[in-house]
Amino acid sequence: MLNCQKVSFLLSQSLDTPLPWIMRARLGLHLLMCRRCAAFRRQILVLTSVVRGAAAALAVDPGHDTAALSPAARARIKELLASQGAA
Amino acid sequence: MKPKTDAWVENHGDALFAYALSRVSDRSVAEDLVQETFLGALQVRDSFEERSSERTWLTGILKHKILDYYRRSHRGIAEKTEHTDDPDTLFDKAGRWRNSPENWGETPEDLLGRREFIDALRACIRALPDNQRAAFLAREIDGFSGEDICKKLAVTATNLWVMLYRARDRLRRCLTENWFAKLSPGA
Repeated sequence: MLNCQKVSFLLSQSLDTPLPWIMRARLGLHLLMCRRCAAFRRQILVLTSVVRGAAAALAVDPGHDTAALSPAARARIKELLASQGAA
Repeated sequence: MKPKTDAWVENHGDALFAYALSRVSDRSVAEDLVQETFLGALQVRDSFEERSSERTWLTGILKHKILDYYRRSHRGIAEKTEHTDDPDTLFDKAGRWRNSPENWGETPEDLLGRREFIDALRACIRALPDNQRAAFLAREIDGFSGEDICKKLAVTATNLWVMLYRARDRLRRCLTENWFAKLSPGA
């Protein structure tokens, strides 16, 4: 039997992999009758949208003072690459 | 004569480092990932077809290196049960919600226009357990397929779905507590 706990897991899973049609139908029926699961579904859809929409902003962390390679790391990497025989 | 790879480091090193640091939060790990990225790029540079920019190509390699790092550093990262991290808090014994998930009432467009929300989202993502964060960001931002993530992290599909479910559940609760609840304290 589909309870809300199972439904919440399946709603998340449906974002990653197609569910069998019979399961989709059962989920749809549950969502028609359960406002709480419908609210959970809306939340994870909004979450997905904002995370994807904020991807560029999330790639930078303003909390880190200097998001730059240290001079030592820069030099080490250059030397390592050069030693690999790169032209 | 300066090696051409010097230009790679000069042009892209800092950007790759910033990206890696946003994922692993440890400077020395981030530096290692940048180094591995350039070394990996060196090995496959003949396959760079210039359909994308050099930066995009290198960032793609880095995304793979980040997942490799999580697989190496988190043995046994698979999560097996289908429950959330707090099943007893969220659901009663019959599996029904104890409390309703809130109606957030804002559209993604509204939210994305606010820097404070992005900061709250970033903090919530950072608060995820490492394995859940790695899987979630690989899926939602880096665009890896579920199958690719399973291979890179050496987990089964079910393990991955559980990790993503828990990540989404934690994030929505974190945002509810740290953003949406604070907007309407009297509601």
